[in-house]
Amino acid sequence: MSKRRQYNNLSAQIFLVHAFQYLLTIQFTKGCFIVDVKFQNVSLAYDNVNNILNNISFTIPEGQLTCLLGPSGCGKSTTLNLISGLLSPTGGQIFFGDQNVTKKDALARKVGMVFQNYALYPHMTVLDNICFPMKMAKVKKADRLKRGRELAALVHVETELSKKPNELSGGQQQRVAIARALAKSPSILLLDEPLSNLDARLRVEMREEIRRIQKETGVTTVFVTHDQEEAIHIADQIMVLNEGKIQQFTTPNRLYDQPDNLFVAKFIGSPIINTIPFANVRDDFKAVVPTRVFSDGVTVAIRAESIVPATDPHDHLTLLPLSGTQVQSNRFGRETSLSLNYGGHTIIADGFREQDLGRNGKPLQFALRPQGVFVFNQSGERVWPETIATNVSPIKPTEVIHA
Amino acid sequence: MTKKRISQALLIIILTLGAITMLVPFIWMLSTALKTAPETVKVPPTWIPKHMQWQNFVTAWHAAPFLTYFINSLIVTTVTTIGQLFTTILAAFAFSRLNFYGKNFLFALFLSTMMVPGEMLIIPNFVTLSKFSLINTYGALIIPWLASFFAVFTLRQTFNAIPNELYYAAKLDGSSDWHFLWTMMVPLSKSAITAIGILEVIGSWNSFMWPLIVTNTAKVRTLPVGLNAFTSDAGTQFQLLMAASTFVILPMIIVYLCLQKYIIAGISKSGLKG
Repeated sequence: MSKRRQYNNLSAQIFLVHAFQYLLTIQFTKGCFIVDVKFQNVSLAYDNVNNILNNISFTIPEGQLTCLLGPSGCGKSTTLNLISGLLSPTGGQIFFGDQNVTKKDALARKVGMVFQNYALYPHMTVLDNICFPMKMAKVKKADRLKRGRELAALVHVETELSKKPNELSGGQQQRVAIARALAKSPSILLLDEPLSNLDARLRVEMREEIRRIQKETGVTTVFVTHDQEEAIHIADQIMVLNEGKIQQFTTPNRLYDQPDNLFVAKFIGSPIINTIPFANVRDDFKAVVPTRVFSDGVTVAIRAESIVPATDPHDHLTLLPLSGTQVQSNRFGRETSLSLNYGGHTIIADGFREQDLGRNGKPLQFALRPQGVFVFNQSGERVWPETIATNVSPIKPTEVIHA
Repeated sequence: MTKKRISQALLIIILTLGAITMLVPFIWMLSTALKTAPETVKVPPTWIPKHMQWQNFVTAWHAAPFLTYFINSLIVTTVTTIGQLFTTILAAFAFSRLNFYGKNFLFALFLSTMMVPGEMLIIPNFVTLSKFSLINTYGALIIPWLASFFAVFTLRQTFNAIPNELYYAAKLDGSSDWHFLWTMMVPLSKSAITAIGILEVIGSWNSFMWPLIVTNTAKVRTLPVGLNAFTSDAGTQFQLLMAASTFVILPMIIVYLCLQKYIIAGISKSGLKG
């Protein structure tokens, strides 16, 4: 698809882009009202026993891409189905804008949905698939074919219109599914793990595509995933869910820089954040943490890139110097991974260059950066640092990891 | 290599024997249809008649009102098949996708009716129909066969294999249950539905016992019953019976040959036999 387009000359491309954007502003402001989604004390229980969702309230802002992120069984797909109307809550209210939609069914809520397996109608052509919601809405044939073609162009499947879904690649099926979901000018676009059936490379490509389509259409989008990296790359804000409760709901970088609790800290970021029982290393932190934290702290968590050599040029920014024992070091292309024994635990550091490494089994001096080090209390809540000024760090940790 | 060849040869021999076993009755029927009356009972039997008696077919056709029987068979088979498919599709959809009170109980109940042998139902069905004074009408030939739980069960399995997301997607797109059934489920289960239909066509066309019991005039009798005309107290005229049998089963053979692809696909897909 993109290869074919490379051969077009630049001016034609620019013209097309402008023409296209013009088209979009016409198409997507017409009949499409962009709304926010509000949950007020929503609960869902099966058989009045198992609480899938427990009294949750949030607002998904309009016109943005929001990710619902969490491990399987955390309630993220349930939340999505509650938004779509395929499930009804056992308690609480759901609003689209000012409208209470709690009692409305899926059709009346006018949501577009993309399923994990795309759920394309196998016996219909691509164009018929895209046009189906409009056919159901009794849009005139000429109008719906015209709009079907426009949507196909938006998602770049305009050359596949007469094919059946099983003749398409996974990425193309995905695009068709998105076009079909957009066909009824939905107030909200819902995507349920849309990338999990694609291979790694295509997944990255499609996530950029979804981002682009969302930006161009401006439709409020909710994206469910269990992949934290995917969520960080695609979302305007992320809601982390676990065991039917919202753990934290904020922007991707804030989620990474200021996790509210141990669950979020561990769930976001790769490699997984190092955790050490605070009791083992309490004395090392005596100088930097307040007395209250000194007694309340149960777990200290340190991001791998926050562990730096003691001789780091950013020395003036380091939090405190520490010493441990080098266990093992590996280099994977441009990454290094260093295992350290510190406080009786093996922790991973990836901020070391090869020349900073010592010998395995020998003591190693290192330092901690001020950001990416957190102390959590017994119930897993962050007790230190209490608030983090966002512009302290000259290097944003997310950029270090995911550049 | 040789081992593979031996097993290959063995396979071909077994399949050939199976095919011959299936074909012999048909060949015997054809051969008998072309014999003279004495030759049909000759010992030892002959496979190829000495003098081909082609006029047997003409005699047989005129021996009974076969044109009427043929039309009756056509009407009964068509209406039964279409009616049965209609009820089957609706019931299979209900059992596969809808949630209603007592669904599982009802399904188990229907399933248990499959254990009742067909012969057991002849008398109750006859009594019911006679109370409605439907004996000796098309109604008697059609109504008892408008529902088949075997077909419902087969189709339900096929419907269950269609992913739920498709149902949700169609619902979100504004499709009603009714619309979803006819525009999604049915086209997607084409091969299973065709197989069920063909099995019913064959079953209905060949049905003998029931039409014999509930009809008593030529006006509503069907072809298989008509074959009875060649058997009397004086014995059976085998050559005519076989000639008539040939043209009775001919339409079914044609149907089967044309659609065997679907029958096999439908049966192997649903994992059931007809």
